[in-house]
Amino acid sequence: MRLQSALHRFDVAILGSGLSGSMLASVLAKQGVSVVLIDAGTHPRFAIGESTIPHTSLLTLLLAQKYGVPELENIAYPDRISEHVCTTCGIKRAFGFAYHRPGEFFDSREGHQVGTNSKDENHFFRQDIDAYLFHVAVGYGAVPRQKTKVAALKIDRSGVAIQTGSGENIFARYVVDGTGYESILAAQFNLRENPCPLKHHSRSIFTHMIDVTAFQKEDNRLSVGWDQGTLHHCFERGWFWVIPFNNHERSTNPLVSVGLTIDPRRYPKTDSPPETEFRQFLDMFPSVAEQFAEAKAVRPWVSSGRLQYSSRLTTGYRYCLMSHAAGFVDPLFSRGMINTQEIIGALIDPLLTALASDDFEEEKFAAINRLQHRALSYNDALVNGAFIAWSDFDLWDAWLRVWALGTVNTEFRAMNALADFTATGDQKSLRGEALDPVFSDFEDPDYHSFFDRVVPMIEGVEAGTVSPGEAASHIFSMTSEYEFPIQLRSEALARAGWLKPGDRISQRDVDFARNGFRWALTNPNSRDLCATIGNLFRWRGHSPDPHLV
Amino acid sequence: MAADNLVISMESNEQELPVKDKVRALILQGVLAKGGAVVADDESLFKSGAIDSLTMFKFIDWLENVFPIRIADHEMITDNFETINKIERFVTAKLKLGVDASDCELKS
Repeated sequence: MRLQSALHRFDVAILGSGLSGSMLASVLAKQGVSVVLIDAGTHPRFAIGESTIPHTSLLTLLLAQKYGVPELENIAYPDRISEHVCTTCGIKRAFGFAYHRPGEFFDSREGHQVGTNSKDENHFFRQDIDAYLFHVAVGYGAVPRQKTKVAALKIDRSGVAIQTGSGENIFARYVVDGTGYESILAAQFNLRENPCPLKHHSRSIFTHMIDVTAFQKEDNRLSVGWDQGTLHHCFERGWFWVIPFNNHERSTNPLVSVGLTIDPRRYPKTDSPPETEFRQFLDMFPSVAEQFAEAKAVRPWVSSGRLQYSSRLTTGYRYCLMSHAAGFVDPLFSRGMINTQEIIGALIDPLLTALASDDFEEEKFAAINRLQHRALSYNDALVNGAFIAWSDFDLWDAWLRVWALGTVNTEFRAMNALADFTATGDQKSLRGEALDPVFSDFEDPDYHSFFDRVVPMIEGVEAGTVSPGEAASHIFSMTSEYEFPIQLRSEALARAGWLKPGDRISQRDVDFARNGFRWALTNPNSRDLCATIGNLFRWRGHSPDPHLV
Repeated sequence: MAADNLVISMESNEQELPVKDKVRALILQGVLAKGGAVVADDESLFKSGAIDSLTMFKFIDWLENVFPIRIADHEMITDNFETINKIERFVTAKLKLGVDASDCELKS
């Protein structure tokens, strides 16, 4: 056994042993890098950022494959989580979006479901997932320093000197900050942008609850039960999230993550207790209220100020901020963890190179800084657009396609990259086709151009220069100007786990699925976007959803 | 697994069985293997939870193995596949077009 207490010198110090810090530590430690994981607290502990998207899990699988850390694969699949990690997480078979008008019951024609098409996704009960990842990191040799505060941190030509609250001196060659909003490095180097330049404004009230009933249990007209995925109740300038942990067949966890995110310019913060404010919003939306008639919070409500923050720099000489230390927009569309994954994936190779050459100059990490700004800007425009779009259902129906064309196409391309890389080990397969991506290397090469055209359109609605109806119609018609092919491949479905080992589907069936899917994604008569067999046949025939007729 | 069961059982089936019986046997095995309920001959296979897309795709591939037919992309429509009755009608019509039906196409 290594005498860890005598070790003070490391290659990399990671501040914060949450999901990002522990995942990065696992990969680095596996590569033989000496890592210290410093954390002011201990595991397990509450955290949010609970809902994965296919892109998140595919990048996790890529990380596991590329760096030989198979334990990471266990958090990419609901069944593997329940078998190898914990039985406290939920399953996400779809993104559900239910549109609500004050004082009115929900009309199922104003609901959307977008299936997590490459495989089922997850509702992470973070305290257990984070603890699992932390233990994996320690298992690979990362040295834990829990209940350890950073009292002082100094970076100079010789390295990073950290003095802990208990007086220990730790020296590292590089430091990564995974401490989130209260980032140690952002405070130390005055990196926060103030005022925050992001367009979007929201604040949040959230907790975990029991006895949250399924939405539309008796009246569901769409493919997937609304309780079988991440449910977004959307309304003008706000939305509720409902993320069940109790919906996997092996779950032993009765909790549901519940939150309300609203624009403080429309709904200014009051002196009311958070739960009272939450109930006031339930009173406005009778169908949402039904879900919460018996619900009880099991932990104190949290009421945040404005959620948005950003940093003028996210990498520098001998340091890098993880995604949530760098900035944040809004939990809408579950884009928090995907940004974390992208930054981890982008940091490892340059960091390994820097450690090998002992060259930590800023420009070696400048691409990561650009990536962080890219992720934040995209998310800002996307979520800001959604908040504008919720003023009008047709506009929201159009804007949902903008999001879906980004995420669904990227998901299939990332799936192909995973399959190709697994088969060949060739790094070229990880590059993606987008030369100048707006959010992901794996996005469709046309998506950036499309996005740059639709954003002014939706912002024009807010500015009053275009009507919601005109903007909606323009956005739908713009989608037809791009090919946006669904890059679905049988072997990629197999690698991602949608097909079981030995299963195959024919090229005819693949073409059948992808052609119909492309139509459905961009057609206002198709709001049930789950790839069930009934939908696939309907899409192939260009038929509207039955509940819309 | 459903796929293996289906292949094995079809190989052991009497080739003389009527088309509908073969179709029904295949479909029901696929549905039951996935935990679904028995569907009637005129009941929609596309209703929620009846049959998943992978099972249906495999079923369509198996049709091509069990019967001397080839199914074209444009024949993959609701009217040909939504119920056991519709599948039987479609397969029977394809068979009538001849044993070597690879060039023959039906309603699209």
